[in-house]
Amino acid sequence: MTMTKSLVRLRTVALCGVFSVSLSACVTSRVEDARVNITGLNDGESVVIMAKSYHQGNETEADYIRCVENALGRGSAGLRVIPNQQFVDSLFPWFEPRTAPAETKGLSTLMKRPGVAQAVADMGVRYIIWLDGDTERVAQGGSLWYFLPAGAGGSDSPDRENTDRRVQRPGAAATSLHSPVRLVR
Amino acid sequence: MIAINRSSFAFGLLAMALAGCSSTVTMDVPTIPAPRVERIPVDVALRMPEQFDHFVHTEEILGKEAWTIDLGRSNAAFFTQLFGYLFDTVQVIGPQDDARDYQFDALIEPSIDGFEFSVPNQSKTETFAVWIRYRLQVFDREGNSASNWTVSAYGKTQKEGLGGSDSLQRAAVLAMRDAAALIIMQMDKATKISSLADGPIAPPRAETTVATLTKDSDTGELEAEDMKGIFVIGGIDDDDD
Repeated sequence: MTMTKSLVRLRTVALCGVFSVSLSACVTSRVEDARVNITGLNDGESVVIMAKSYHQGNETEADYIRCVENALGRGSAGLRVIPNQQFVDSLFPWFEPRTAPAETKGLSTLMKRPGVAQAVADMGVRYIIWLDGDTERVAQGGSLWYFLPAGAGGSDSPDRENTDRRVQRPGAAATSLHSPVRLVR
Repeated sequence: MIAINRSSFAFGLLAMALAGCSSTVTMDVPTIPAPRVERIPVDVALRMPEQFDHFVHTEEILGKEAWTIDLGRSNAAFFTQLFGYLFDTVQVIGPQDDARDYQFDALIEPSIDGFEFSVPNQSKTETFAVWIRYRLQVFDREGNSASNWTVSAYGKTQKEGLGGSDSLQRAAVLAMRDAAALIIMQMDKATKISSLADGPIAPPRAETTVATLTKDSDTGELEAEDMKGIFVIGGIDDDDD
């Protein structure tokens, strides 16, 4: 995958987020900044978008997860995205809000559980991307302040490839998005 | 004719207003995915309490609205499916059945200790949340109490749609999934139910209690000796097996 394709993809994701918030909050927003790296995804490999657990206070909306999933999978160069619910069901009960690993180091322990590594391999999942965030109403006019930091983890492997992505989204009605995404191979 | 139409219109408005003051959600039978865990090698009898046949809970928000959730038989279906995945064999018996007519290593009696939910008007957020506290009583094949475990579960969803009925139902399903996750991961650790496959608790608990009472009533050792019930609320112990 080329740098250009990744850039386009990330912008698509960011724009999708901006668009969804714009619709709900009736504000105009734009992408301020985007940094990308090569994902190294091969044919047949896929990604999963996960919401961080609401047991930890996260309030990422399911709609936003679906939006990111759709954006990543769209187009001729779209990524292969395993739907969040399919992934969670396939690995029940290890990715429930109560049980999902909170940090990447928990993944190596999880992968040793019976059937987990095989299920992940069968789905071709190479990256797991966690999003977390919340929506806060700051004015009666309906404007929203949206904060979406994101952490990520992936299948345990000796070689690691970290990517920091940051998207800022200052809008006309005080709407902003911060989305640092760390991909760990 | 006009008066009749006006009356009908007013009645219609009143009915609409009343309908807007209460909401009833009827739960569909939930399903949980097959868990990726090894079964616990125990033959289990599962006694369903009467409350699992028709469980209804109402939350009244002062001066605003009343929400009612009808769980129907969803708890019975939930535990039947969950324990079917978790144990070697499961036979479901009714609240009036005599357990001595059945062969098993362990008898489990689940019940609901507490059920609560909150709606956006209460929480001042756009979320529905459901809390369920189950109690699992475990007995050996002789009827001795082996464990008494409470499981607190929680589910939360964003409000979707106008009414929010689907969101509340989804929150209840998530709470049940949360309970399932906790039970799957902690059942044996919390209740030691797998040890019952080797035979009943020996000697029988009732006799032990009486004997100990007679012997050590002054020392207070009875209480310490007899408190084998395990009380665990929520959380996951990350220790490996």
